[in-house]
Amino acid sequence: MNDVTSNWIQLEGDFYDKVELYSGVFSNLDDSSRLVSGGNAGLVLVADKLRVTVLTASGEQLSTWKWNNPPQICMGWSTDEEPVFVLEDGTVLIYTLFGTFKTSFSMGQEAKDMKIIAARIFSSSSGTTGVAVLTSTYRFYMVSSLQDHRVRKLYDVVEMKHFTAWCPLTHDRQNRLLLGRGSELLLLSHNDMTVLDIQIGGGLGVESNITKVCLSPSQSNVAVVTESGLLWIGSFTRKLSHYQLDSEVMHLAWCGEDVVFVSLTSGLANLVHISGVVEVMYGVSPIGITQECDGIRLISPGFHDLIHKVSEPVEEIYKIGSMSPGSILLMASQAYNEKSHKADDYIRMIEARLDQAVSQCILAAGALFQPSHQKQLMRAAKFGNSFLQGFASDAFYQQCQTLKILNAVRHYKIGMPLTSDQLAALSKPVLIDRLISRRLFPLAIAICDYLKIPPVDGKSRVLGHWACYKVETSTADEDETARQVSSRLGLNAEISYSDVASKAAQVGKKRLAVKLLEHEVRADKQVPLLLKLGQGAKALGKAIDSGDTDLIYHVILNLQEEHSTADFHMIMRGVKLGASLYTKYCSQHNTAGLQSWLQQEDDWQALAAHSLKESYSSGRIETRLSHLVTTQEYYRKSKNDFNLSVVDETTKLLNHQTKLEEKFGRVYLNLSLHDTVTQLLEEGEYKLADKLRSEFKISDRKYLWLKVRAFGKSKQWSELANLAKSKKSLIGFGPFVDVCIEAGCKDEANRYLVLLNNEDKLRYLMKLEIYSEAAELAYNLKDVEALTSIEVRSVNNFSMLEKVAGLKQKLQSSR
Amino acid sequence: MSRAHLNSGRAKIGDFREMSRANILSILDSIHGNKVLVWDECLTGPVGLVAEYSVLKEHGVSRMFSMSATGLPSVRVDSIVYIIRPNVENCDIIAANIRSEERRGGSGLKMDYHIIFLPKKSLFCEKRLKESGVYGSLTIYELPIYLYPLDTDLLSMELPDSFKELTLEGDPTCIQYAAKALMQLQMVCGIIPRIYGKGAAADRLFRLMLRMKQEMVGFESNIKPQIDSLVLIDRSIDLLSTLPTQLTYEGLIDELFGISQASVKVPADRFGGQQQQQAGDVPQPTAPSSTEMRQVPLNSSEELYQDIRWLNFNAVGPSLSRKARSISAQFQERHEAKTVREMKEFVEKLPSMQAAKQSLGTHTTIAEMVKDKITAEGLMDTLEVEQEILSYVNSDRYLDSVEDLACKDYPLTKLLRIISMQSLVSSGLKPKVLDMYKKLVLQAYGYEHLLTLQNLEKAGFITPHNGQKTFGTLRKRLNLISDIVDEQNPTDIAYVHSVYAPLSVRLVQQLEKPGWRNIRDILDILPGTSFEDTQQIPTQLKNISRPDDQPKVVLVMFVGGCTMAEIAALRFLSQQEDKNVEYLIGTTSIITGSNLLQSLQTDLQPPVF
Repeated sequence: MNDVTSNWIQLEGDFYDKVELYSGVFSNLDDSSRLVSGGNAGLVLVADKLRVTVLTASGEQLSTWKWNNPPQICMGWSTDEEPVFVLEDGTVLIYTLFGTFKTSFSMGQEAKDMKIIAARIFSSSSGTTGVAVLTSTYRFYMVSSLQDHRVRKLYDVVEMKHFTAWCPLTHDRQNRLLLGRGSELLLLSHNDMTVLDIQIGGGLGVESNITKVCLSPSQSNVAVVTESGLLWIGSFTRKLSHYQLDSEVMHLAWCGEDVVFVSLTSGLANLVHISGVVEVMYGVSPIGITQECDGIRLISPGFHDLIHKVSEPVEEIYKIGSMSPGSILLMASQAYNEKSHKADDYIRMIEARLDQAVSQCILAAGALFQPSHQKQLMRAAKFGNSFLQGFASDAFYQQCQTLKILNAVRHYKIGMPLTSDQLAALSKPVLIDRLISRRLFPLAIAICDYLKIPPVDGKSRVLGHWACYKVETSTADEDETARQVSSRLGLNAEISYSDVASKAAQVGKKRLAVKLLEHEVRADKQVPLLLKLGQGAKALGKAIDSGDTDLIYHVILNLQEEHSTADFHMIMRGVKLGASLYTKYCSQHNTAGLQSWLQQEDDWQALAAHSLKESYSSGRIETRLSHLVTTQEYYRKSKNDFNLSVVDETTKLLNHQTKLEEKFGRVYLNLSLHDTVTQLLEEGEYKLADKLRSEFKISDRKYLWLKVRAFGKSKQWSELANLAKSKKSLIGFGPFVDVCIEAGCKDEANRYLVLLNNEDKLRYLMKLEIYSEAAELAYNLKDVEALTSIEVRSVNNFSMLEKVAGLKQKLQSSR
Repeated sequence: MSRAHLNSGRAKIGDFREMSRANILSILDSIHGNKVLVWDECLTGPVGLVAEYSVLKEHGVSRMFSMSATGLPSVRVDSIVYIIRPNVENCDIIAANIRSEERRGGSGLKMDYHIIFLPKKSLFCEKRLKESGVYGSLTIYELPIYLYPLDTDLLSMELPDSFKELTLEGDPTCIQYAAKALMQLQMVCGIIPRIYGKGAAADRLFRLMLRMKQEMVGFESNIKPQIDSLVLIDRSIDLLSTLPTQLTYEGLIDELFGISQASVKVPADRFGGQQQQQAGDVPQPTAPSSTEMRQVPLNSSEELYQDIRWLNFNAVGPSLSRKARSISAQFQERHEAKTVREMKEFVEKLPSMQAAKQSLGTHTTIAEMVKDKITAEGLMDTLEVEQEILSYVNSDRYLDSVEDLACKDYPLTKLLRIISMQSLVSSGLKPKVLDMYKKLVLQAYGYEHLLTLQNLEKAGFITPHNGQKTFGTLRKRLNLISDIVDEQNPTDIAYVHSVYAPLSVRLVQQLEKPGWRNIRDILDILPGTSFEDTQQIPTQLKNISRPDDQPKVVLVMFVGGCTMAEIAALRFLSQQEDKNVEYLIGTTSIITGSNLLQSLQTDLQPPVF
């Protein structure tokens, strides 16, 4: 039990613990190299003039590459854990953590021209990675995101002095700088400068320039070091304490919110509490120091340590002489394991506060690094929990899960010495991202599965990244790689094969990309990429399979642009749906293209239709006729005799109509054959009508119809009567009556009534509203229904009603 | 108009509408400032079903216009929002609009341009916009609304040209949209466990659904299945049923006046003193169309309409007079009310009685108008010819009655409808008869209709005889023609056309009894494959089964459109007491024989010299 507390340091009321994370690491670093370790137990970046090396927190080398650029002014880690370098001319370079150059941008013209003298890489207010630089002209420039690198100039600090002490301040939803000017602290934003109303040097009388400034994790407290070696600690509004250092400061950082850590050139280090209490630490001379949200990590040759505040439950349990429930529960659990009856006594002692005891143990387990300690505490919690009914099972389960993950990633092979708080700050999805970018795919998958993350966000996503990595790095034959990738990924819609394929295309492995795309289920992703890869025919096939006409059009138009007409037609020919869509597109937007395509295809029928349309779209009779000639040719070729004869007739009729127009100066064109004949009949041009009739072989029956209607319309009653003289009509005499009624001449109608059979006569009598006669006829025909409808129609005619009623009666009685 | 009734059915159509509505509103909200909507004209009506003008107004829409190549009306707004179908014509108009606006310098105010593609974005259109150089000044959105709820049991995709695109142009866009629509519906109403289908387009649709399901692994619906089966019907397996004149009340209104988006526009002068109801609820992008028209909503939220819409028109009159008697009896109660309490009860009923009275007035007027129009258009003659064709087994002769109609200047589309009917009933016309009919049409109506005839042949409406007697077999086996139909109290779906029972609905009916497996031979003589399949239900939903006393819900999806008569027939089947099936209807659009044939016509308009 002692070893939990063996490294504890008491400061004011609190305890601080120095945890040895890894030992025997970083021993071969030389003095000339600089070292930056990323936050949340991130990677370590080591650089000298010649090389850059990326190491895990446990000192395992991930990658190393030659530095061919000018020296870096500043280097650091982006929030996505990518190495970021800022050069003297303000160029910001971003690499992958395996040393592949990713992208770069400039911090602006002034930075380029005047050079920069300092830079900071920081996590911005919106969680992105920001970069701030100070030019040799003492102007600050800032970008707030590496993705959207708009450079913003900060407010000009007019009175120029040497600024060596400055750091980004990112709370309150904006990115500002905190800087020391002389003995003042300034807040600088892009449009404003505020001098903080605090006196550095507080009371000592000596004013001295600020050389270092550092913000606490929550950015509410400031630590400042001046030229004269004064360490001043305060908030933005007041001083909290100060401490005179006896040699120059190497590193300055906050360890939590209450303690400032300083390491000195003298080889000593101090922990200074905000209350003014100081603890001197010997033998601590770190070469790299990282301020975390809950402590600091120190990298020194041979060691990687964490100093953090002992969390309350741990303190409660392990503090010497503690009688806290958690502490007693732990003793109870140990006694129980030793089969000692004392266990019972202990439990009785804390019976009423057992829930508190369990919670304490669970929480404390999360704050400790040694698995054996964690186990002890969790066992105690479980033991205590068995006396409570399912009180803390959720918390217990969660803690087990968290510990399992923490222990897994803390392993020196992985090298992520996260604390519970850091993991919470980082979040589990980001942890998985980090594992992915370190190419620790199996562990990432194991954690996803363990956390039961849905495959889309978990396993499948990891596999997707794995596939990209595989595709990028594999030196095997492309077919073999494709096979390997697809056998691992399977036919899984959650994995975007197109992403993997586009990676392959990026690194120039076209064949592999095409192979991989075979497995993509989403055509809208697959097809455009296939096109990009020059796989037109395949893209067309896939687009057609998808049934997405838009996609098909997209491919077709692309193919058309990229191929000669002949080649294009060849491709289209094989694909029915493609061909019909192309035809549709052309008929709307590209008639010339349509014609060449149809001719290529010997589609005479369609060509005929096309030229027929052209004929109708022309305003000149000659053009119309010539198009009709073309149409005839096509129909002849397609052996469509009926249509051919129709076009013949069309031509003939057009010629007749033209002549008629010339002769009479009236409009005939565009009338149908029937209408032309009808018009001639109406105009009394019987001979011409007869001529057309015989030429176009209009049947007797139809011709009779035309005559009857024409004579009726033009009220040529005698002509109509002549037609009726034959006593027999092919169309009956109903139409004769109809045309009279339509012309509004009911009297004329009467003369044809006698020619009708009784049923028709009754119908027309009704139509002519000759009800009295109709009623009698209906009676004779024994048509009760007709009588009823007469009744309905003559509501106001009482004599008629009487008559009909009588007839109805008679009919019914006779039955 | 309240849409609350949409959720009263078994499948929650209202939820589905809510989803679409949330979609459009969230897009509007993401566009800053006040905005003008510029509509692709064919979308105003459909989208109005989902989000009314009043709602759009609440989301910053200040005015609405129809899209026009002549340019934008001058307005001062922050944003111009186009809502269009993804086609090239629309993009060209937008490009022209923007360019001319830029030339004009606008109203001095910098305007943002947005395009909402409905139902999906298009690479093709974006390319076109890029080529016209306006792409950079546009923000593009996608509004994935595929289905519009017309009623509690009726969903339409409002794609009136889908049949033409499929059969004449070989363009399967509507199938893709239908597949998306059905996937979307399943997200809201749960996975449909059983799927049946008949016809090539149905088969394609089903395959696309399977494909999309694969693409969507990991995003499955976790709603308890509300729909038990899905039947996909390709319109081209049953062209005939679109042709006979529809004789239900709703069908006739559609045939004679045209129903669009569940409402009809009729001349207002016949309505007398009734005040105009529900104005401003339907988006009216342009000035309200001619003032003499009146828009009457037709849906199941109106009790009376619900009762009579499916009736044969001959039964509508008696039904209306029964209704009139019952209402006047209700009003009579006023005199019998003695106590204050009775009086209060009466007063409470008053609003609903007033509504019923108004509804009765409206429909009496409409029924009269329908009757007048039947007389005016000589519909009785047509019906005679239709029945002659339908009742003859071998009516493959050239019919004088058809010639008579042609000589009487009968509307061409309707004449083609009759000839098509004859062709379909006789499994194609003898070559000589076919040529005679074609000549008749061309000589009477003009040679410019040659391509139309060709189209009808391609689509299968007027074809040469194929040596089979398909219709004869179907007619016998499926009992398609009933000589005795009780129009007042129908016992069979044949009442919707007085003699003819729509084949499509008959097939759906066979699904329950005796089952498609037992009519394999019938299915095989129809074109295209037939299939049935099962979709896996997520295990956690499996155990929640439908209570036995609840009827099964079957969604019938028509690819290529369906008629009001078919809908009426399905509703009739839902209402049968012994049948334990409730039908939901989905369709690419609601059609009549006339507008279907019209869509297939190639209009060659000779210019005037």
